[in-house]
Amino acid sequence: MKLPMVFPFLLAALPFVAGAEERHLGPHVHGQASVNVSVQDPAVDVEISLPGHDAVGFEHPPRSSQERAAVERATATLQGASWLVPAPGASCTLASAKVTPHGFGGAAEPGGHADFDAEYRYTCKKVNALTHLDVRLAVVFPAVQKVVVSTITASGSNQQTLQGPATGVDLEP
Amino acid sequence: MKLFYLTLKSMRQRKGGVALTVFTVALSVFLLLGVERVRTDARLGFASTVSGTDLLVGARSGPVNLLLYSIFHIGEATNNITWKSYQDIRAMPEVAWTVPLSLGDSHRGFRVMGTSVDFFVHYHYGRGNALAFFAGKPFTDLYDAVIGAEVARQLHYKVGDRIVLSHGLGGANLATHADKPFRISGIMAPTGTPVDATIAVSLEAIEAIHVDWHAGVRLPGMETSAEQARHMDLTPKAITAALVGLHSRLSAFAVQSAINDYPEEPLLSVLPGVALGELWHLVGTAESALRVVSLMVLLVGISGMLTALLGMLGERRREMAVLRAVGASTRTVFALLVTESTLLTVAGMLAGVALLDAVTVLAHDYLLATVGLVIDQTPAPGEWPLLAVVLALGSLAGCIPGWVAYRRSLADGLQVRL
Repeated sequence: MKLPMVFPFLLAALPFVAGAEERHLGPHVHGQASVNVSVQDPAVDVEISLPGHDAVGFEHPPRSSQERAAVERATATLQGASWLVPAPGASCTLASAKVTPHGFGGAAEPGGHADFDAEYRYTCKKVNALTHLDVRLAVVFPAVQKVVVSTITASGSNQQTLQGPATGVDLEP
Repeated sequence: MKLFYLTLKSMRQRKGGVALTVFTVALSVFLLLGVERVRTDARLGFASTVSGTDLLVGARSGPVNLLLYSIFHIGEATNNITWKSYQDIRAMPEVAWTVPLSLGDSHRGFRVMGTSVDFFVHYHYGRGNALAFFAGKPFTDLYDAVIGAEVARQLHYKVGDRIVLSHGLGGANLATHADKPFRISGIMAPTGTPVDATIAVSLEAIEAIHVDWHAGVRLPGMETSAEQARHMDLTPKAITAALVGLHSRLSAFAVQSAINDYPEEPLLSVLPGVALGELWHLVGTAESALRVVSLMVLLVGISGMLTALLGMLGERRREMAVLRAVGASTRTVFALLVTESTLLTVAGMLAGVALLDAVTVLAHDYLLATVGLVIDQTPAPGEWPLLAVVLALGSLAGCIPGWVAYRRSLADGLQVRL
């Protein structure tokens, strides 16, 4: 989530928050990763949320060196963005990548779960040629059963679900 | 070339039969492609009921539920959105525009929707089509109303007519807002969307007709006249849902989650395309039904076509025998028959496609106005494989009598049978 941009909005809620306890809990489905893709020429933003269970097999701060290595490996894999391949014709280059593990540090997350969140920004020379994306999350993290991909492009919003060996996501730029 | 010439000459001798066969093939192709096009366009039309809107915001329920009550006007909202929350969303820096939607009242079975004039600017449907006015203009006065094409057609209203809105969904209790009648300021052109069956008034008007109402009943003794209401504070307290447009699509998911996590009120924001897709999954049985119809039409159409072709070619056994007698090889005879059936099929296909195009052009407005279906003039992608199947089967149909002629002895065709 782009905090700085929505900050004024959250700020407006602050006085209220101070008075009452707030309890919000988002969904968390093991085996299911969610990917959001938004396209606005020339930028393509991709954000994902991957349950810790599917990325490393546990959802608590690492207790052994193996677990620590697993978290680092998963973070590095996500950071590398090799699992995401935009249509080659669009000439996209990765401009930035940011991976944030939640719930693997000291403090437990509300709900007791842990996730990996990641944000990517691509810059594409020919956005019009970006007709599909290859999302290979389930290949890189075999525990992922289902990838729900939401897209928003100039032609509207859509949702596609990848299951089994499927990796192709259609985009209408 | 000689073969082709011979086929044409032969066909000229049998004009009536040829015309009938081409007509039968054309009808089959017309039916096949027509059903396919209706199926595709019904889905497309549905999927683009709302376009150009980045987010749809309502009280927290489910995406399909929100879409049903706010856009399709089916069922009721679980909750309203308070005006304060709406103002907060409006004030977000990423938000370019918002259009409020306030539902609840009706007029003779049609839903009344309170909104702002921005609705006519920002609500798009189909491939980015804006709302157009068939007559009149958007509301300018407090007691102006804009009606959809279906409302105008069924109730025979025209610009300038006066209407009285009913409280809630109307019915037998006769709770009307008779003290504050509305004037129709505009009639929208048909869109094929739920907007056609909607009466749009301003949000302030919704407030104005409810100033004397409290907790669902009209307060006894309180009678604010239409004129007095004009001078009151008509800021709404709540709305049902809102359409949101963003400066950049890149912020869509961030704004969506900010609205979904809004701490003061449980709100839900959805991407309209995603919700429409989900809803289509639910009502997708209708599409499957059309698919089955399409398949049945395919079977009937193809067998009709084959019958016509086979009947036509069967008549030519004698001709073939004569050709063989004057020295044509069996291969020539076979080629002749296949050429003819292919020619007939191609002619039938062209006629069928032309017929379909003519019908879609002529019936476009009628279908839109009466059943709200937008039929596109461009062929659906599924039509090409169908045409290929028709062509292949048509050519294959020529092979059957061709094979028979190839196998039969000369005597069979030359024998005089009584």
